[in-house]
Amino acid sequence: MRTLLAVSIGKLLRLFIRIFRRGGGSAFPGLIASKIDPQLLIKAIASCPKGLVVISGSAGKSSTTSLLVKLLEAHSLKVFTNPSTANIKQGLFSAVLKEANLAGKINHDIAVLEWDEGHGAMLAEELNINLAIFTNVLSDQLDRFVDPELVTEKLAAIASASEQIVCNSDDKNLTQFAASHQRAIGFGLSDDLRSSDVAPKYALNFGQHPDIVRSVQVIADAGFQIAMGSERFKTPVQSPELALNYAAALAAASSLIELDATKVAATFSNTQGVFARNEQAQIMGRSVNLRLVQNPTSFQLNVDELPKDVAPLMLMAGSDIHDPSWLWTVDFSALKKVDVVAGFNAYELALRLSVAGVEVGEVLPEISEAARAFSKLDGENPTILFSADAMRRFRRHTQVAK
Amino acid sequence: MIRVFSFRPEYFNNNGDQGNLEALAHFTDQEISTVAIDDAEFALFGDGSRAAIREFGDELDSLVPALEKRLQAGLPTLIVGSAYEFFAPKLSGLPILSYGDRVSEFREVRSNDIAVKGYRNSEVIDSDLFLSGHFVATTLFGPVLAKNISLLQHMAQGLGLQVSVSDHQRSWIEKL
Repeated sequence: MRTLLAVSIGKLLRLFIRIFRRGGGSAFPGLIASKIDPQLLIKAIASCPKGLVVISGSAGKSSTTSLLVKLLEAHSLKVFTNPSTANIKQGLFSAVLKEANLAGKINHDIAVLEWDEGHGAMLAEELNINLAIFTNVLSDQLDRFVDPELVTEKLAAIASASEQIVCNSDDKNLTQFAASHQRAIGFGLSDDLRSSDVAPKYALNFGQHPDIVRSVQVIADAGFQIAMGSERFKTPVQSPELALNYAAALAAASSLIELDATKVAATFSNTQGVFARNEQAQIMGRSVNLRLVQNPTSFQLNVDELPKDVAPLMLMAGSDIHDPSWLWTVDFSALKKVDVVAGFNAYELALRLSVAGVEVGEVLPEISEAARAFSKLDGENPTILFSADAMRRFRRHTQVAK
Repeated sequence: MIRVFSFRPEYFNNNGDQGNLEALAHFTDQEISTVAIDDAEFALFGDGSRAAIREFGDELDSLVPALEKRLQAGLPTLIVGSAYEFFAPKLSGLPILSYGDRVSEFREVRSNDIAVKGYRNSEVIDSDLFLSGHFVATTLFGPVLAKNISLLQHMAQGLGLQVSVSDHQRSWIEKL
């Protein structure tokens, strides 16, 4: 009865919100449903015969989740998943509401869920995890997590509750707990890449680096390829960080199902970015490059990737950046001008940019004003970098559906 | 030119604390040169992770005498977050810190008529800002000099420099 009530009310709320806030999702229906029936998520996941796969870590969760879902779907599995950025408990309940029948069951073979690294450990106490993928630990969101060691502890708790784990072997923050897991497999960069300047930097750790054998490796060959046994799969990405997501997804998929190399190759070649991960979208009558920046690493990566002739350029720092001090760890010196600075933390971002010697155009915290100002600016490469909150508000305002 | 010592800036920059050097150079229109602590006009110890504090604890200990001199002379110095907590029991003159539940919030604190606003995420009870001459220790993370013109001016005064903040920048700072 509780489940029926939770699903009915949740679905109705979801419908109303989608009618009145076009282009924007909400975790609210999930929150209400979770209050009515706290067991709804557990029941829904339990109805998937092949169980639950979770993806967690500081960065790369959304892309890895998306790739794994595509790989499994290419092998004819029906996959239940959550949208990127809806990776905390309420978001997961909302995702269930979308797919569940009135009995709270979802008609899928397997659940593949992105988990926020802060909330995952709590969820792991309630849900049976078949396989957990760990992408990395970065020095990220310290206003929330305090210290990377505390993130590592939370990921280790997820690992302890998982039957098998797949982890980034290059990150010793992960291998230090993964090495003692009975069923751990690794992915990572080839030896050449790992010792090169392009290798990603993980959270500071001066301890030992236990090895987890890399069953899947990223190799530099005509861009970046993924090597598994004698097979080689091309990726469309141009950085080892992004290629590692392909390696993670492939390592996990190979643990879950018998893979068909032709289907893997086709899936990888057809992948498009996760929403707003360097995506081209039609906004206000023109093609705009959208880039989600969620932490110092991704902000730096995206700034460094911008073409020299990028214009107009808008940077948006939303309220999800609780303490915007970390913006000062990003090197903006490659930018000449930012035409519009927007979002809840616009003033701090503008100050940071100007101290870095970047010319700042308009500073408009209100998303609607910023979108209007941006739409009037000329330029061949309109580009927006935004945090998750700014992205949601901008998407809602411009009605760019996900 | 400002002669600066910053302790292991690559590791002690958890919340953009090294941005204080950028801000100091920018608003005083000076270049920065890196020197040993005994030769420094300005010294910075940023917030470091637990791993960094463990790894470099001995090195930090070796700098206690130099910091003691700076504290007694009130020389321009900024110690932030975990570095503040590390040095508090070792430097006579710094407050004795007491600890309680972690409080994470934006806060405006005051010492010697200088108000400083910033974000703290600490178990330290009170003692958010210590100021003696131009020696500053704080729990407030990040580029406090950039966000607090009065503190910036106070620090620049200790260096014998003038501060220049544009109208735009001043208006942004006022809205933080």
